[in-house]
Amino acid sequence: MVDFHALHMLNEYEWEIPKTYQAGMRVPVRIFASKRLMEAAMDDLSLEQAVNAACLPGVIGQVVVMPDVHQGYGFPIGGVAAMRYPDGVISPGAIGYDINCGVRLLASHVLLDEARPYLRDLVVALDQSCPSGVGTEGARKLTEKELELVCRMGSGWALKQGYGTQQDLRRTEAEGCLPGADPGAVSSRAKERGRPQLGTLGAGNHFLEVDVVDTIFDKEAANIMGLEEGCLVVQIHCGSRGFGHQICTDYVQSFQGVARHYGINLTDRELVCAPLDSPEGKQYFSAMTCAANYAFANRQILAHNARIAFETVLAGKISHASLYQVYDIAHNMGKLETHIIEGKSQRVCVHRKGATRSFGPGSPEIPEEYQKIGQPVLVPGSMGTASWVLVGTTESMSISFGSCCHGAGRVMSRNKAKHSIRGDELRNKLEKQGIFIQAGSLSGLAEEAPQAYKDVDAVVQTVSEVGLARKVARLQPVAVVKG
Amino acid sequence: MEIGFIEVNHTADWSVKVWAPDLPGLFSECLRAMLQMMKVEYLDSNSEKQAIDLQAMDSESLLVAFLNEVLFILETKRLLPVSQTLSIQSNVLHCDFRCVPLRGVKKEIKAVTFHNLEIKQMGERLEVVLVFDV
Repeated sequence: MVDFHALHMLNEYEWEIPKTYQAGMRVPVRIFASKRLMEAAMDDLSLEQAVNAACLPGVIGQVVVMPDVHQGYGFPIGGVAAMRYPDGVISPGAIGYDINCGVRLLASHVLLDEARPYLRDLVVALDQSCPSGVGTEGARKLTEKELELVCRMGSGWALKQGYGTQQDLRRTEAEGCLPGADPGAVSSRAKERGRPQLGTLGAGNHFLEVDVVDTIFDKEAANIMGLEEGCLVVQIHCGSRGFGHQICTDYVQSFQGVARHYGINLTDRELVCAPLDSPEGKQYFSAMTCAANYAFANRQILAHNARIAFETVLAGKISHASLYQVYDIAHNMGKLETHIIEGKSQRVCVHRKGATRSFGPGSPEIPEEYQKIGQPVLVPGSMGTASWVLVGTTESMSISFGSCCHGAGRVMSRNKAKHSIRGDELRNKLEKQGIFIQAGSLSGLAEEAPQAYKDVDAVVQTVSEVGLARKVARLQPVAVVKG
Repeated sequence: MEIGFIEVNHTADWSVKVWAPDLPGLFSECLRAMLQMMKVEYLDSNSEKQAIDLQAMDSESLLVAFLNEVLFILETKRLLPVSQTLSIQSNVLHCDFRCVPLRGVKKEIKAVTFHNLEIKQMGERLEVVLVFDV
């Protein structure tokens, strides 16, 4: 474990592990955390994993660690690293198995008070329209040809099939489609797993949640996003399902020999990688892009189905019961971006693992309506606690490669959570707080209990103080669907 | 106990320490641990056979490939291995499974990872710590 004395405290919310800390480190590690969050980060191997990431060939600037950081496998969850393009590396394990796991936020003008009598019906309808659980299949099994189109078009394919609106696409990171997808780089196994699963939520920490806008901190930004105090919103958290899991599995396995071939020495085999300009690196990038586009299409279909469920349940009871998209962002992705690093503009592959993009005002990559305020940054909480809507800042471009935190961040192991928390008791407790729960597994619910997570308000306070993002609105959960 | 497993704390994912006297035993016990953590349920029905052949650069890669292969069979064929005969020689694995239809899986494992993976000889037994992405 990284020793506390190895950390340089730069100010109240910033810490550094210098590159002299360990032989092989090419850049320092910069951690954004309050002292309390830093102590939580030191309880597991998060920082050691960040140090390992700082040893990867071509890593540039600094490895950035968010306040919601926790131990993952290889790369810390809540970590960001930029690799020089094209001679730096790309690492499947540093992007994760759930490629383009992300969050979508839909807003409404429906007041919680008027919808309260129908909340239970709403949860049931949302659960039925958004299939969840392990290995769940969607309503439509894609043909091989359709899957290839999903890989190439992402959300655009879903729109063409009638799932959604042009506004949905405009308000999605990268407009729901990354360029460079090549279905030929995807194994037949991944395709077999991906074909039946489009339009499904999955299991684990994935969820669909109805929240109420509790407090607005930035009226102008909230107004532009269409967020109104007291009104309902819906969050969808999921990714690329078995399709992405299999792509990552395939490449982590095949890169074991590739890393050796390129003479790359690793402290952790999960961080296997290949140069971005190598045939293997290019192939993985094309396959990862397929999974990223699949995930965008997946959330697009789920959003469409959630919208229909929402409108159907409230039809004839509440007027204007529609859901419109605020934004959709990824938090497990590798993207080619241009950043000013060490005083010059450089093309890099930014690996964000459990971290979101947070581009500031004026960025050409965000929609016109958000040009003035910056990109919406979605930070979901943990069932019983708040979630946050933030906006990206210009400062984040220079200190975190335009990145921000992605959630509350776990603090308790799953093992400890399931042995100390009972799923049925938790559900009863949350329901007493007015939060309806629809869960596929009670022990799974226990593992995801609010007490297993850090204080999301403290995490958001940190990113806000540092300048990675600005607060816009806080959301409180009223109903949760978990796989 | 000369063969067994125990869950190890891990913040985000699941981790398990497994031990056995030899490599086939270790692989089988890792499989048992994984299926137990997933809380698999099966249908009371006739069994069928499945065979797999795998080759890898070392024992650790072979172990990851073996367990990921089972995850693939569970999801795509909806079959649960209930017993197996397993042989490993020079990083080549052959396994004959007896499988029954899968009723369901309570907990999802996305993948078996290589995180700090090392099969170690500890006295008379082999040990490994696995991390599953969940």
